[in-house]
Amino acid sequence: MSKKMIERFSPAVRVAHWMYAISFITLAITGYMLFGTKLDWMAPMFGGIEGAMVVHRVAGVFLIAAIVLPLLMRPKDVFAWLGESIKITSADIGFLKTFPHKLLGIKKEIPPQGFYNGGEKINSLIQVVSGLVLITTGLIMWLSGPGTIAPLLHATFFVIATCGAIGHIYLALLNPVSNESINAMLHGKVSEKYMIENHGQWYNDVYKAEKN
Amino acid sequence: MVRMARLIDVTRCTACRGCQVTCKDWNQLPGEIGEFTGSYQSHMDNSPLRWTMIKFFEEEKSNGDVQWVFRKHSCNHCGDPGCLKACPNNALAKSELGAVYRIEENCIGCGYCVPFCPFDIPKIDEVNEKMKKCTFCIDRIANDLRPACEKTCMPGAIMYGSWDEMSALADKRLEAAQKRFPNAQIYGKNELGGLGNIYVLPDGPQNYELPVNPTLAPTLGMWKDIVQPFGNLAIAATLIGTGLAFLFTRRKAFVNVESSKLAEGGYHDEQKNDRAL
Ligand code: SF4
Ligand code: SF4
Ligand code: SF4
Repeated sequence: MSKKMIERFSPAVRVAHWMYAISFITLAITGYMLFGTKLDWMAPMFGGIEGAMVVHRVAGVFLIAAIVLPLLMRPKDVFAWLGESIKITSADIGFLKTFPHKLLGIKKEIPPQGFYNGGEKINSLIQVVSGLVLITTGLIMWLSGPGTIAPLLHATFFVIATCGAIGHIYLALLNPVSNESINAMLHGKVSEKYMIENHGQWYNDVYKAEKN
Repeated sequence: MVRMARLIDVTRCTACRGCQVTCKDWNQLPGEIGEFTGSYQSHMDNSPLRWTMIKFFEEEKSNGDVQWVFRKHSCNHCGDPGCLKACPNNALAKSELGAVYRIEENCIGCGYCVPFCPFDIPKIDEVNEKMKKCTFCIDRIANDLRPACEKTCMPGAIMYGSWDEMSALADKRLEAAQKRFPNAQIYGKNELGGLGNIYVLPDGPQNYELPVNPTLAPTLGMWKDIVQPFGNLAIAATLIGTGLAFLFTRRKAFVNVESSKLAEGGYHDEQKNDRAL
């Protein structure tokens, strides 16, 4: 089998992804200090929980920047990703059906997937929706005080986004069936074999077509 | 220990503001020059450095005369305190004496308590990132001293004693008050589990910036009772679930010859493992 590599994510996409990821993790850790008590031991690193709240706001600004900058500089890429993510096809449903196996590292036949597979689309949608709610409620709380509803929504979507992110990190880093995909976000490239196996539809319809 | 209360007899207050000053004195709160409020009232509202104040209300009597009513405004130490339930950091507690007080080191000034107080009492000290409000002079009453404001009040507009005593006293005071104010009424006996301030008012509470039927916001408690515990559970379950899946896949990876990785040469550690075997 060839070891040919295929470009998957452009540098711009990768920068945006990691800016978002680092801000998100910082926000999740500092935010959790208000949500629960299990990370309070980390508080001294931020200068107490009060300090963590300052870091939380700074990280929030970075996270917003990680969305606004790509929207301004690479609107096409952003909308291409969003457009793909909201198009859930029968192939995606097929993918999701095999998801429990995948989670446990068991390879299963999957219907040929597009540029993003069903799982990646769900992950994107979770982050988009919860990101919108978190940013809106966060700004409301920052600018006009907590109120009675915003903290509730903020906390609820924090949980949803965090569970999604944990699953995403696990699949990208630790799961042997899918962890090759991390290379696409690190160096931009994955093996041709990986694309054929995991994104067969895209490989056949788009990549080959572009080649010819 | 028995629950304590203050009786605030608005019909007797002369607006001397002794309580306002002595509260600052006992709690070592520096004075603040306020803006002109349009009346003799000293400030618009309480602040992180002002835990009690006298609010002025100008009313027209039926004969056309103007009369002033003065209401002491401070934390009511509610029987069912919204602030306490709203605080995500367990920074508020209720003593057996009925005082709703703040635990200094737990409070981070997030302000989540603020919108859940029906009386708009908690004030956030943005500099020190702490919430500030009347403590019911807990440092005094826990040592069998009377609250500073009550000790100062000359006309007996503030009284202090057990909740039951104050409740009975309120009834007596009401009788006297009704001679001058036919609409006089008691406020605070039934509201929110009984307030730690029982008021004798010359007229309905709405005239004195007190909510007629103070209720707690419906979203109160949803944070602590639902989102927080279930959220923690969901996050823990995800962590444990992925952790277990990880262990499972590692075990699998040793035998799963179908793995694309193996086809390409396999895991580094697996190869070592093979050699060891
Ligand atoms: S008056 Fe407000 S601050 Fe005071 S105990 Fe009641 S809810 Fe809390
Ligand atoms: S400001 Fe302090 S008392 Fe109020 S909710 Fe936040 S931590 Fe609790
Ligand atoms: S009880 Fe103490 S803290 Fe509260 S208003 Fe009176 S003097 Fe101030």
